[in-house]
Amino acid sequence: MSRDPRLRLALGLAALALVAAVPHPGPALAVAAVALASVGARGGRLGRLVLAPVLLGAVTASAAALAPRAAPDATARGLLVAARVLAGGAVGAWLCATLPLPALLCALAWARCPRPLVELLALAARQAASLSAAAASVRDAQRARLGYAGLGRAIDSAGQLAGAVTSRAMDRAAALADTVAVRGEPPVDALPPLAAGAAGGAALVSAIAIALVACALFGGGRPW
Amino acid sequence: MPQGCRPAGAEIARWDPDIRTVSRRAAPALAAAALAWPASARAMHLADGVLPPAQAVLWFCACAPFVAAAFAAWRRAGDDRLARPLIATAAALVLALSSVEIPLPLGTSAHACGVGLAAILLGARRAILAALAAVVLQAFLLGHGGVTAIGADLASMGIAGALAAHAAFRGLRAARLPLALAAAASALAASVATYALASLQLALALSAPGAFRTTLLGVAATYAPAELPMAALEAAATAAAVAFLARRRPDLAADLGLAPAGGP
Repeated sequence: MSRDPRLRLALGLAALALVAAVPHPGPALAVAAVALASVGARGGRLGRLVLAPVLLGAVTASAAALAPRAAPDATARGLLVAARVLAGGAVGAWLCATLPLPALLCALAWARCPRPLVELLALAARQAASLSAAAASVRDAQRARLGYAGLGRAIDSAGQLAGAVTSRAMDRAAALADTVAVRGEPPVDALPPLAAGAAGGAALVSAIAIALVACALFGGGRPW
Repeated sequence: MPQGCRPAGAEIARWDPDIRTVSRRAAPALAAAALAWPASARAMHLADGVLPPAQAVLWFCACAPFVAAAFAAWRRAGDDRLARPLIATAAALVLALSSVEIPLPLGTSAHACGVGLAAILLGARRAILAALAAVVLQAFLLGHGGVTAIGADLASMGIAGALAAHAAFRGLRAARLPLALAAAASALAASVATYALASLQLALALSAPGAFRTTLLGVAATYAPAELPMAALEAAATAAAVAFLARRRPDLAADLGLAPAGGP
């Protein structure tokens, strides 16, 4: 599998489009099997990925069967929902495992994703990392002082935690603004460049075209 | 139209006694069946594959005007040195708060939204941007919510939540309600709006023809026991957070328009 993030993103999106569009569970289950094998999911993680779709499928089938005019294809409907959700979850897990943030931002920028969104994602991810550390330190201090013993104290502590983190976040926002002003470059410009003429071009266009054609052919074919 | 045929959805709109009876019987049954499966779930956000393609596209389209307005606000914020980092920080807050999941049946989970706090601090448009960033990062990096469901998730958590919180906070402050109380009510409004729209989305996606009401009741009955206490807890925490800011950082509270420079 190519390491080109553009290709990975395009393949993931194409797989998701296909899974959503094809009105039979077979292709979705095949996509799920490939994605789960690529991720190497097993044990508890595999169980979590499988259990929720099974539940959703069962509820969907039950809702169809219990309807005033019971749908004759309730089981098929439930199976289709379960297969789609399982495949969607598996492809999502594959995207998470193979597209770290810098690669994702590069791919989104290349895909002409609106520049404000790419800038915002870069800034937000940076802030999230520092905020989580700040929140952890405040929470540890609160725990040490039994701040979460009892519901009332826990709510009060949670509010103080949110307030303290918000306060620190504002300070960090000011510091970040100073940094950006001094360095004189929006973060998105600092992304590593993608290899020119990489594998991606034709494969990428093909993947997107396949997904679009699948949606056009099958998307409206059988409402569920 | 041939005799005996009704337009699509007519049976949903009509409230006939048969449907009511079956719904009453079926909704608790569905809820009980769902609660019997303690599934470890990925998200209150909808997962990939839950939405039919047409509905996924519809939710993306419904979000487009709001996102365009929010992007315009982002571009205008270029003149304000602090605005963009503040929005990014709000996005990080929403990301952190909404990533702490409590598993629920139906392949979902309850979590705080954080959008209410963001809307109180920054206003609706900037809160929508923050929610957009949070939802995208969660979908691609954490597997929390689906990529194809970003539109639906943004509509429920970002747009409905932010608009409800912003409108409630402005209205309640104009009515001279105390800051903490207004913040709590706004956060509660955001959570309820989010959960209501998310339930509607899930019911629309899963219901068979003629079974929309039954499915909606089942979904709502499953969500409510976990989501409403969660909403109340988030409201209390939001009130405490805003009160903390006003008490400890009056300068910041004044800058954000939460309170006059003299105090809350």
